[in-house]
Amino acid sequence: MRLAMSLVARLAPAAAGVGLLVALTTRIAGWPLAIPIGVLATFAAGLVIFILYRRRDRDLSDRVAMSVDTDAGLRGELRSAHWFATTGTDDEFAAYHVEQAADRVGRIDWNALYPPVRAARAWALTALFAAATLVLSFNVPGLSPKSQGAAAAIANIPAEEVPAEVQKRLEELLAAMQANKLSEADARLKLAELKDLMEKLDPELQKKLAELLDKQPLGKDAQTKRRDLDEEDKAEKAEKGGNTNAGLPEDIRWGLEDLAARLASANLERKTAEGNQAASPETGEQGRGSAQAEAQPAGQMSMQLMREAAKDAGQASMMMGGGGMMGGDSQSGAGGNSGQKTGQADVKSIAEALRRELVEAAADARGENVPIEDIRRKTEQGRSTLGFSRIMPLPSFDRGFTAAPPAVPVARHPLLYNYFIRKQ
Amino acid sequence: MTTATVAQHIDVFRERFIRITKEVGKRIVGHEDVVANTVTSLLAGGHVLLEGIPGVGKTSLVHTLADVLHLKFSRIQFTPDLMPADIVGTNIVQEHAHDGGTFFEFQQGPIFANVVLADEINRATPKTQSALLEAMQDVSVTVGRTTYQLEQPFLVLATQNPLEMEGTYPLPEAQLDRFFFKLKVAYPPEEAMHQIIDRTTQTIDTTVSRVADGPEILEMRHVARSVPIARPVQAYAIRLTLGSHPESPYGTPLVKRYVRYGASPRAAQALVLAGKIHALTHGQAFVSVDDIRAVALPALRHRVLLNFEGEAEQVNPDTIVGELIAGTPTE
Repeated sequence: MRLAMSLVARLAPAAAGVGLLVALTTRIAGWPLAIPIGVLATFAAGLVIFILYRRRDRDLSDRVAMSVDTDAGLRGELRSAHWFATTGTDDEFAAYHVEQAADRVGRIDWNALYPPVRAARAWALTALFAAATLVLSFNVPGLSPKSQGAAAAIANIPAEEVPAEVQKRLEELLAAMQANKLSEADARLKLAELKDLMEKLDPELQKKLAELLDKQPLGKDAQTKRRDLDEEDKAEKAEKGGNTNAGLPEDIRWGLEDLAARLASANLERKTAEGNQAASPETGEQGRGSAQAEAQPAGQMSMQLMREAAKDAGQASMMMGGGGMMGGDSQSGAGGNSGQKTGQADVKSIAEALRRELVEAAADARGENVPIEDIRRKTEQGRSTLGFSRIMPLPSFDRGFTAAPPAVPVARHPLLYNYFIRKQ
Repeated sequence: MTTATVAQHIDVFRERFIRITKEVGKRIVGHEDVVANTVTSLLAGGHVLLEGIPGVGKTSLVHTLADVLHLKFSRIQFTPDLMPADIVGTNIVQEHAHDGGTFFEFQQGPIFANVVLADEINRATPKTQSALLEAMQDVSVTVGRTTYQLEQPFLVLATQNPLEMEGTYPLPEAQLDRFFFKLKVAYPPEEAMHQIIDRTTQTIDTTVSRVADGPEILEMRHVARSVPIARPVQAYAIRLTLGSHPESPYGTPLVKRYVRYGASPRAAQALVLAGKIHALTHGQAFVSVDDIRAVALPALRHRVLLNFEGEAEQVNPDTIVGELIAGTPTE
């Protein structure tokens, strides 16, 4: 038992330290709060079970008897008596021997021989670590969970449920933000208008947007998190002459951009469907094309996404294969085409492909030693499986990529921006 | 027998043992361990092989022991021409006084004693040496068709000189194994030499008194065999014995390299019995591993037979047994 307590006293601070480490990691990475508490509780339960296990009643082995005998300096008397007491014997000498041994053992000061484990430091350290773990678990000020909640709420809005008016306002807001024409006060105003519109959509989101309006420092937090942007990105920001977020937290901005993109995609789908219905009876070719696109599973279609150098400033462009599945000459994906040749791939597929490409890009673009052109070429060779073409420019990416493993490090965000979003 | 009786037996045993060794120590100086082990062997019913250079007191020890114990003592000087009949006795023709007829009558040899000193035993031929075998093992001798029981307690103390090996007949393994202990009588230290010279060259009275007799020795033997031994301790004695064999898993590196044959089960018997006596002499009613260890060297050293390599390198069996004692696990 003494050994067990000694072991526990040694292990407990380490276990609590692990809990603290997990709590810190949770705080940094934004994991669920239950993780550190669960880890701490698991360790505590494990230690309790271990102590109970070691304190259970059990037979004393010859080895233990010998060890105690040696420690007490009994010259083998306890070990021998233990054996006779265990086996039982009618021999007078053995009885006398056991009696004598019991007498001698009774006169031993066991507390002096085996002093109780005093590990005040270990227990204090354990308590300190546990308390720190709990504090960190219940108070996570740096990660701004409200901001996350707003972004998540925005990201979860179904595109079909957004009214046209909201869509329009949202596009205006984003366009203004992209063009850097929006001051902080204007952004607040726009957001307030947006909030009124959103009230019709989702009271929960309205609440989040209200909080967002009241909480401008969140933007500062987001900016702080982006402090490690590389020099190139900083220079580009300087060229742009200010913050395109207009005081909004970046994740909120991403969420809004994503929502706008999905709205645009939904509109386009709707238009395409209408166009197909109109064209089918008359132009079989286009109808066949659409039918072929419909028949082809979205997951098996190939799509080439490439990014042209932006000579004309403006929105981000994507070059889609003009020839359907087989590709073709790239055309500007600014939305100028009719969209009749497009397939029926949905927005989710696009988002999935984008996420996959993001992950791929994050894995390949390790740093300065990997040219971006190579990565693009690899991407063009196509692991993407979408056969969809002609959608609205998608100036954003799915916010969910941050949660999908492997997570893209913050330091690589500028690279991703450079790759998928044309600089203004 | 109650626990009080047991305690009394132990005390009596211890007191007698101390008294014997102390009395022998009056004449034998500087060999306390040899004296104690000789008495231990006597109490265990075993025999002792004393090895030492001439003049260190081997014969004096045996003489003194016989005097102290009030036992019948006889001495046999082993020579190459000594015959077995010279040891055990022989049938001689006798003539009836009344009618003049003849008959055979057994004439007892010097083996018929309680304490027999076989001086320089390795000088006799193996045939004569083997005459001691039956007496040592069965405490009886057979002459013709008649077996004669020897009187208990019976103790053979054989001496041999390790230096003068020329013209000697080393004891066969079977006979060596019959000795309970092999004790080495070392050269006495300087301080002991002063005492020896003082006692033997002055008028100091070195007469010893009889502190025990045969029945008391037999009673002590009975008490010694009554001491219980726990199975783990007995297992240690067995491991120690088995470890002297080169093919044993308990064998130490020296054993595996230099030993041809290890100790027989008699060695384990000797370890346990001597351990019991050792425990009693320390007032214990139990045998511990330490007791076994204390008697392991004299019980095993003559039972470890070296191989050719060991003989060639003149490896001391004590070194091998010492490593065995240190290396054998106690559990």
